[in-house]
Amino acid sequence: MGSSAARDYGLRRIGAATRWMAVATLAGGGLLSVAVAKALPGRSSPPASSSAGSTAASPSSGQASSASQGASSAPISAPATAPQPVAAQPVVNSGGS
Amino acid sequence: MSPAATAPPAGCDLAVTTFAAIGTTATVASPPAVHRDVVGVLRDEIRMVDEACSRFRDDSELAAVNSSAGAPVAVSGLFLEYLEAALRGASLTGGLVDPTVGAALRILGYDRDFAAVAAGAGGGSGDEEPRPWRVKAVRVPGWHAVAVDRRRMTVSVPPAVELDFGATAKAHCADRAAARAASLTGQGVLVGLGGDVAAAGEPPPGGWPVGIADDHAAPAGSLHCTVAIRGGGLATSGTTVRRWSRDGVELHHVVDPRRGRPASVVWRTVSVAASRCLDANIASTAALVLGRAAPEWLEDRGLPSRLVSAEGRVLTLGGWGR
Repeated sequence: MGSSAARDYGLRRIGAATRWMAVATLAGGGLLSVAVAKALPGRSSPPASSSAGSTAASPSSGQASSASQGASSAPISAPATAPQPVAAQPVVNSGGS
Repeated sequence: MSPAATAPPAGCDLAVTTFAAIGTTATVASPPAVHRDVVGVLRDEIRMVDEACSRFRDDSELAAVNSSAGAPVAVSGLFLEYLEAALRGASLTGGLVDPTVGAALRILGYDRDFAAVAAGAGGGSGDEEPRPWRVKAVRVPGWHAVAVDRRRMTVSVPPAVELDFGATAKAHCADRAAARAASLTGQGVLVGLGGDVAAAGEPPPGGWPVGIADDHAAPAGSLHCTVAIRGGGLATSGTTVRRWSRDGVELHHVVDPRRGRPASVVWRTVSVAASRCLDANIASTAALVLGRAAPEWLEDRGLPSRLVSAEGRVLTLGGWGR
């Protein structure tokens, strides 16, 4: 092998080694990011407060959501005691309006 | 209208105040010592819901959303709460009680405060020449069309979609007022808002007596019955009140979202009790829309109910006392 051929061979090996190092660096960085993300999960800011007396659930979301994602789906429940007939004068009426 | 005090029920030491508000009647009952504060809470809650959710005020948040042509609109926490209440109604009923009926109601003629609608309807004087007019079905887009960004507190609806909280807002307002007044005073409170009744705190001995009628403003002689409740909510929905005529066709305000027109009248009045007034009203409105399927739907949920058919037949379910 002449000196010129030996020089070309050396340059090819250096180039290959450089490419492998670049790939390894990127892969290592990615793996490190995943590990950090798993070890240190992020926190979301609390939802904006509603007015006093608010009882509706308002889950926080950073993106627009469809209506169905926010509607409370707790089932309708009966009162502790059902209405019973009474002879007293009513204080209020329940009827159509 | 100035407040009108009415006599408390016999044997109960209660103060009762009734006044006109948001196109209907508001009533509140409580022990006399705290009554002034309780009335103040109810007035405050009514003012807030009117400012946020009225379909007939140009400056309400609801009007801003309805006229936004699809753009997100920043809303208050209170508006979001009432929207959530309306969406809960749609979710629990599979869309039978849907807040996107606003355009349908407007096109059917309910496009301003109801007193003006009724006054402009002609009252069926008989002088008008009958015209062949058919109720036009209006497509109801459905509650899934509403986009809510709870973090940014914005709401958007597609162009031409109009929200109406008429089926849930009064009931939720009654719940809020009763809970807030009871918490403030430590006393039992009963709130009635256009026939939607909410109780909070310790009830009087024997419970809160509530008259049941087709029309919440009916005189004592027109009541179907009187029942006692001890807490939660009691709501009555009906098709005999808030009716109007358009070109000789009688209409009412309970729209069936599946058909985009007033619900068929199988039941003229449905009363339901639940753990809160909002849910009672969701169920009573759904029952009107369901028609013949309503008894099974109510029984499946174990809700004490009283249904009056168009012919006047009474059906009670779920332990509602007879």
